[in-house]
Amino acid sequence: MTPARRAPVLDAQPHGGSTPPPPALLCRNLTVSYGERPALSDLSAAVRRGGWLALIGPNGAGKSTLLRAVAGLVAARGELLVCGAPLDTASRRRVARLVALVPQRPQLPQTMTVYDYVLLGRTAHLPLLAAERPKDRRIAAAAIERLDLASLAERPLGSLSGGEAQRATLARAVTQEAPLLLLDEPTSSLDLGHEQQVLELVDELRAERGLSVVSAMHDLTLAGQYAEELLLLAGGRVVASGRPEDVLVTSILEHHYEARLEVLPRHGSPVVLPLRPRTRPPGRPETQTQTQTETETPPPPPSPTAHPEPPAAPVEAHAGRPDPPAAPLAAHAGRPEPPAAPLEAHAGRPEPPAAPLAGGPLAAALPRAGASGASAPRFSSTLRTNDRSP
Amino acid sequence: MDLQAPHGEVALGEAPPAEAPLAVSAGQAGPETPPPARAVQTGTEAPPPARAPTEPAGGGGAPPRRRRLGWQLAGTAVVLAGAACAGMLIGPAGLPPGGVLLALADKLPFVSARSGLGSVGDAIVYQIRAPRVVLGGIVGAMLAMAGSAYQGVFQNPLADPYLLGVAAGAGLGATLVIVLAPTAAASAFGPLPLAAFGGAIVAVAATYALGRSAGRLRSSASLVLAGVAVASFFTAIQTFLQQRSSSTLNTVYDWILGGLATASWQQVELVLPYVAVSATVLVCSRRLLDVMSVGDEEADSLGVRASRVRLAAVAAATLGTAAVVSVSGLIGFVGIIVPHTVRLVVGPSYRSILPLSALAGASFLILADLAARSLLSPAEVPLGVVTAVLGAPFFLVVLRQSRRLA
Repeated sequence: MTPARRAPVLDAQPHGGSTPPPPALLCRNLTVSYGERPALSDLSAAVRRGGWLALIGPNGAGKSTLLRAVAGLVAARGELLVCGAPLDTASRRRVARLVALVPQRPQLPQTMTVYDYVLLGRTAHLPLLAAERPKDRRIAAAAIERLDLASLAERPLGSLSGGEAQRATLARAVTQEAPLLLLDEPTSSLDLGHEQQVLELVDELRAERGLSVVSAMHDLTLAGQYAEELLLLAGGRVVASGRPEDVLVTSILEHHYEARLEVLPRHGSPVVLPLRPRTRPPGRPETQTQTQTETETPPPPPSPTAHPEPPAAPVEAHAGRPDPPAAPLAAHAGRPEPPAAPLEAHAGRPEPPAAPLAGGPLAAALPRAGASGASAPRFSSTLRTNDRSP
Repeated sequence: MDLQAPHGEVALGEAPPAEAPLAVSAGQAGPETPPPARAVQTGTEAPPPARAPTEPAGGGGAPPRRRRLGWQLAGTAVVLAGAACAGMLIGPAGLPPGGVLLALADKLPFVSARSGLGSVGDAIVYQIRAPRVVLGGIVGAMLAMAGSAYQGVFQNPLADPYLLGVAAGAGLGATLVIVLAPTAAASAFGPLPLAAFGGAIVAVAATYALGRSAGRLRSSASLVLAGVAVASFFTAIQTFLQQRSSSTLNTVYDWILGGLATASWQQVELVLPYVAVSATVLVCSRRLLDVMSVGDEEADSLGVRASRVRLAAVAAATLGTAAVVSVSGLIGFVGIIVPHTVRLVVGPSYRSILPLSALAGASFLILADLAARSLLSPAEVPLGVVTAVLGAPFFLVVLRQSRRLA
């Protein structure tokens, strides 16, 4: 953590001796400007070795800018250390050996084969004009195998589906063998199943290879499920950070996203449930809503035995998904007063959902939901990270 | 796997598809690449013998890929050798082929042969045909390599070696000499090549300076646009000069259409150093051209400074192109058609495209030159006309064969 430790530690090898290894990423007072407009102001953050930090925040908050700054693609003022090595003076090759970036919309050369594309990840490990060595080909082949692309290896990128293409880009980043992996909205174009598949893969790679991950994410529930820590950005500044249950709080999120939502406490991590803003008087009869949601109410708590920790996803995701019919009910349950209240009225609301929710039908699926939604200690990320540690 | 059906189609038109250099993918190669499609392709293609030897898939992990390129290179080299032989044997003098071959063999070390052609025949072989074939090969190889490098660093299929103003600059330089010093220009080794070379370099340097100052963010697009502006400017001046002195109009026009009629060993020596440097740089940076295909920003994040790669490739390609243009004039179409043909056959990797383009470009230009001097013999058709007339239909055939790829 100390700025004095600037030894150029390039690999993720555990440190010998007593000094703890420097964090995978350490930014202090990072400022990035596009022209006159500051995109990031005075940002400080740290990611431990093997950790996963998710950047959340509304569009234009500076998530991508932070990732681009860490990848050395935009000039940044302030301190930026990756595994203890300062990046501002490092060459491009060296940065690329420390940081691998999966861009939000990678430019895929349509006719290039998956294998050749993945092999590009070795660029930073090769002398400028040299060709790949057998070792590089082995590493690329291993990444292809690991990401389940072996049957696609000779297919042109243009023929891949969204999920396959995302895995190909991920394989390229893995081939780069950098200790810090940056993902810019890695699942923005994927459906729920592929979203989970990709995130699980990232999590497994993190455990297998001791990678540290920083990802910008739009889906707050998934961010809370996978990341150890969240960093909420708004207007280029950090407005909240910490463990998922400290950041995924209704009042904070409603304020910064200018959205109406509700955070439901869950096993492991909170579920962020978008609510439909009621701008018109309730048109649908309450009774109908009631019956609909009763039929849609998910079965009682997913049995922990059936889904040990990580794959808790399928059932939970369904429960936490913004099912349109469920939304009015949840709104009703969370807010006893007339529901036509405009969005702004709720933004400043300090302590929203907890108590009334306990009586709602969803509460059946939420053991211990009676505790205050914001700060109660929960059996969450510590447990998750513990059973993932290699 | 909802993509199964479209994939089948893609693989059908794809050049050397799933033979699986990679061991892991060997399993899926079979059903998706019906042999007929390949047979059709091989029939139409100049450098195809390369494809056959890849049949035994699934050897080791890495080697097959290199072996495939090796076979492709060998096949293209055979085509080049054939083209060179044709260029040496055919000509208006009507020398006996056996005698020509003996005369050539006599030049080999440790070989002594009597050609029986006589001193005039020997002179035709050594001083007229041989330098012409060699120069044609050098020019064709250089233009094709420069074209593929340009297409790589600009991510633009329409890019050719003249993209950034080489042609306009060389044309202006040559026109200046022809108009201002017609007698000096008439001699083969006067200031004309130097002026053309200088004009080409000045034009590209101007383009680069303009493009860099115009846009820092999108340097590739702004460079191309600056090239358009510079080329228009130089061409305007050149056209003005040309119109002002109608007496030299024909000379200027001949030069612009390009040709190898004045080829000599001295010209070969003149361009060879530049072409050697340029070719070395380009062939060595072929892997970086592959990296450039993911765009500047991703190339940066992979550890390569895209703008520097572009500058190096443009500088090398310009040096070589300016050199060959200064002795051969503006031969069009080679730089754009040969790399595309090679790409359609061997796939999008510049590792294969660049060296194969050099060999294929040399073969193509030698054959085109042969046609240029044989069709209306003893008159000559301008080489640029031949390359376009022969090249365009050939390219369309190749494009049709592999249209499913796009």
